[in-house]
Amino acid sequence: MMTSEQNRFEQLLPFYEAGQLSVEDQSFVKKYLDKHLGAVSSLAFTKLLSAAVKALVPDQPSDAQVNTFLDKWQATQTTQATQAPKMAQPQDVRSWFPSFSYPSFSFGAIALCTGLLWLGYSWQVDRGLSPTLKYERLDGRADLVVVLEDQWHADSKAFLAALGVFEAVILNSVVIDGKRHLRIDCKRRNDAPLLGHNLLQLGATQNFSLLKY
Amino acid sequence: MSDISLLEILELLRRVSAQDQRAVEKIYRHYYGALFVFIRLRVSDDGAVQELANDTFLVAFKQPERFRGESSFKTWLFGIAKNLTNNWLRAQKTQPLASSVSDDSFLDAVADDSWSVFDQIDSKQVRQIVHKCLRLLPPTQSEALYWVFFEEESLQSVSQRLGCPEGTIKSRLFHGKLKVADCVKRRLLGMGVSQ
Repeated sequence: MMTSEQNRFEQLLPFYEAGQLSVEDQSFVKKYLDKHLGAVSSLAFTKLLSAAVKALVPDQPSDAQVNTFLDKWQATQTTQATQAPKMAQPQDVRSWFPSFSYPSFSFGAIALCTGLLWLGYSWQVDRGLSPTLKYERLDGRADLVVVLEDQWHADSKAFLAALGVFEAVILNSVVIDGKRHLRIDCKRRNDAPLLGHNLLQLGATQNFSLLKY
Repeated sequence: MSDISLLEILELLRRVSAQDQRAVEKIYRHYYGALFVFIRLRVSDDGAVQELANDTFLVAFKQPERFRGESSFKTWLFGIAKNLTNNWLRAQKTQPLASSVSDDSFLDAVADDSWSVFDQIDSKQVRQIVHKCLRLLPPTQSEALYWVFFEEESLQSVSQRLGCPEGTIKSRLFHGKLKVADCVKRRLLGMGVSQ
């Protein structure tokens, strides 16, 4: 049966071999090796295993290999671009109704669209947002939340310029425990981490968190 | 090999999204070697390893925005590699062999001076056998061996990277080592090398 000392020794060995042990653990392994001559073979096998794993490393990829990969990648880019998603052909809804109902159907559709436009406009006015603030492809969902440093203002030129690099906009702003939290929407969702880091580096924010959907 | 900083990799991926070939090449050259070893621990055919490594990069570059900086890029990339390798092995119907060795029997063996069986054949030959045996390990164990022996990461770092307790990592390493040792020993005995 393994003693607890032997168990500890065996579990520490890989890290001893990799030079990743604390001073205390390292000293324990050394003492154990001094006391138990047979343990040296276990260390030898660990070294062999480590060397075998390290020996698997290949040479750096040749230029030809890199070029082959780049060609493959380019091909996937072309395929992605040419494979536009196929839209299902919508069934003509008029076929569901008798022909004499067409004028009333059209009138209803126009009324519905007008109503929705009016509602949308009222909502923008209520929030005091100008429609020009919105970028073309922003989805209106926050990608990250940042906590502003006390001396910074969300409407300062430097802060807005940092957002502008990623065509990001502030969706809303709330104060929690005396700290201003801003919810930000990026035009491209994958820019959110970089924007978060940039704002940190700028010293404008204390921290940031990415939002998942 | 040092990892590219998070900030730099996010910028590179942004450029990949914009179809910047130089960014693709930089990431490919930087991670290819490590990725090759990671896959090679489980797949014997070098051609297949190369294909799997390339496919890993293609998957990563297809939707680079899926990497959101919540883990290191290497962990994320190797996660893709692990899935692709699992699928490939499943398609090849290659299953890791279950080990028949018990902890005690291995310890008896390593504590025994006759373990010098390795001295009887040249180290290159032993290494080849070890490589074959490494591929029989379950993914969790070969992964732990990779991060500790190849990347030389600390226990704490590997534990964070793989998202499991330090005790689990120690146990995976220990059992991985037992299985490889058992496999190597059996193969050597099969070659007529006496204890």
